[in-house]
Amino acid sequence: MNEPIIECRDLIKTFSSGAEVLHILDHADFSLEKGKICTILGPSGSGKSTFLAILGSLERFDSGSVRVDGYELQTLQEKSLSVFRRKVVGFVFQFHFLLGDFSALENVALPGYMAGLPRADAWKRATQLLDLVGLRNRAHHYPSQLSGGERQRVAIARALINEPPIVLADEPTGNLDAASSEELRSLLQRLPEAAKTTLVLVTHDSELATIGDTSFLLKGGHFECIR
Amino acid sequence: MHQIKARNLKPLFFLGLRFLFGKPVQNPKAPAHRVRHSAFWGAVLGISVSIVPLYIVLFVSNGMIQGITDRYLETKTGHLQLALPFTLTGETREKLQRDIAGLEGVASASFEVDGIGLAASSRGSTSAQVRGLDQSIVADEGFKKFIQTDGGTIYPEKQNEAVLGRYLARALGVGVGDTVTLITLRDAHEGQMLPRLSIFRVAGIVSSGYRELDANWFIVRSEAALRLLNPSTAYAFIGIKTVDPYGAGLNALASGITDQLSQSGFSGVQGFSLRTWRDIERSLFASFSSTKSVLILIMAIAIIVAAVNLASALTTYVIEHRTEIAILRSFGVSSQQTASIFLLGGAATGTLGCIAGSAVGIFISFYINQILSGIQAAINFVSRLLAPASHPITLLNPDYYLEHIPISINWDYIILIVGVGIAVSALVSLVPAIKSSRIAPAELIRHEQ
Repeated sequence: MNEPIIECRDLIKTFSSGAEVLHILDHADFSLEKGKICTILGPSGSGKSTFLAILGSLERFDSGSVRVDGYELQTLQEKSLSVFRRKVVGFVFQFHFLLGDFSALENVALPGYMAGLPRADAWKRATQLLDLVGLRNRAHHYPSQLSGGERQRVAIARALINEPPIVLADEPTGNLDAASSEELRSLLQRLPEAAKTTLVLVTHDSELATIGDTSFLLKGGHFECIR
Repeated sequence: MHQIKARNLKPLFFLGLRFLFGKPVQNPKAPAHRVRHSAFWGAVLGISVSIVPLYIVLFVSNGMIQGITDRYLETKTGHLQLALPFTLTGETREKLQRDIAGLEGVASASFEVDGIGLAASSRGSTSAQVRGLDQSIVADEGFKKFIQTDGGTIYPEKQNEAVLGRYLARALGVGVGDTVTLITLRDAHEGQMLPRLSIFRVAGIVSSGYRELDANWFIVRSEAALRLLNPSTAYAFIGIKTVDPYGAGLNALASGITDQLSQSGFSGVQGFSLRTWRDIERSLFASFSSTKSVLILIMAIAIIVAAVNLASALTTYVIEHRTEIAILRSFGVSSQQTASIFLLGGAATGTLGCIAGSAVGIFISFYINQILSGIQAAINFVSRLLAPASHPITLLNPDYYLEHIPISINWDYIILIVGVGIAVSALVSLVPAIKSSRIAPAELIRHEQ
């Protein structure tokens, strides 16, 4: 077995709601090998999205350890977390979260440009990625001019611009119709090989869950490997 | 530690400008989409508009003050003034005059004796400032440069001739060739004074372009003034013109003249005193300077108001675009970079405003005389249409202002105004910039829920 690219030990995450404390992750352990597709399933409110946000350093956790591509997230300060987000992870949200005032090409290129790529290189790489997701002809269109599926594909291209070793996708087909979901499923399945990355996918979609090399069920704050 | 390096400023500028100003032109490949944020163009306009009057006030007041100062120096006070005892003999005075004129840095030295009198004509009488000028004034380039003649000569050729200031001539209702009577005082027995009446023919009517200075001039030859004016009320002096009246060398030259007086044996003699032009009209120049300072202060407040408008637009933008900022944070833009985007955006807004305002302000200042003439002509035209009997108005009353404003563009002021404008814009952008840096990427998750 290869060394895991993601390794969580004894992970605890709670939310307080008034006097009530919700144990979203309760001494949870999780591990994933490089280059794999991992799907995480679970009922609504089970903490799947929170776990993904923890892996992407968007959310802090209460205790335990999270090691992602060699970064010990519990030890990182705010500035280092920004570097981590820039270099290690690419995020795809359920809602596309594209910048409305920027074209598809600019949306994809921006994280690269902000990460220090020369402008011409960032735009060139963004064009290649739009090609990869089949949207080269829509490069100069704005999010408002794209369909839901197209926006998600742009979001995937954006997640790949800095060549992250890990892509985290949180229910990317959640807002899409059946046809768009199918297109996206096919794209996500090709992703680890095409972009040489590891994909962690949170989904409700049982069809989408089948693309994973491995699947986990998050229930009661613990992960259960189901495939 | 991650530091923002100069080469990393480009993407921050790119984002700042795009966030705040949108896309400058319609995208030809996506013609239905247009991105513009009018609030920031409004902020640019606000800063521009606030800067324009500052330039106009600065350049006009500077030009006005410089023009008035030049006129005082060249036509009245001289650059240095050596007060003389009234009783000094002509021979001694002329020797002193020659000695001073021969000093390095001195351009000319002219004798003058001033006093007051009452000028009268068949139309009426008014007070007159009698100036007894030396013939050498005719050769003085500075005097000739600023003295305009409405007729006749600028210097009386004969003892019984006088040159009048334009407004004195108007008040007396006289022209060139007419006669006027000058009433001065002469000593009588036992300390009594009696009026002395002298008749003069008007040889010329002149103006310096600044009424406050020349309104009551009654110019006669110095010999006539010495004869007519009462020694107890008259003031005799040598007006000295230097090659650089505004330079730091003026005081050194004054010291040189004092030494010359000492060598000539006049040191400590009562009645001699030397003053620079700054001392002679100290209160006048102090008044100009304080008026200018107050005007600049008022104009500076307008810039601060415009900057507050920019801060408000930026703060509103940050509040309304939390999600977009959280998106940036989610792909690794640090809080420091986020703050820099808005700081640079604010500074860019200020820069655009300052550049536009400077261009308009300098243009208006440069053509202020033509613009004022145009406005004056337009107002008078409309007034005549509405009320044919109305008197034409004059925007710049020549009683207090020069009839033509001399404008000179001062690059130090331009650099100062633009620099302060940009700095103030960046400063007021600090609060919204810090606010933006506190937006966490986790807000995206809340947004989804």
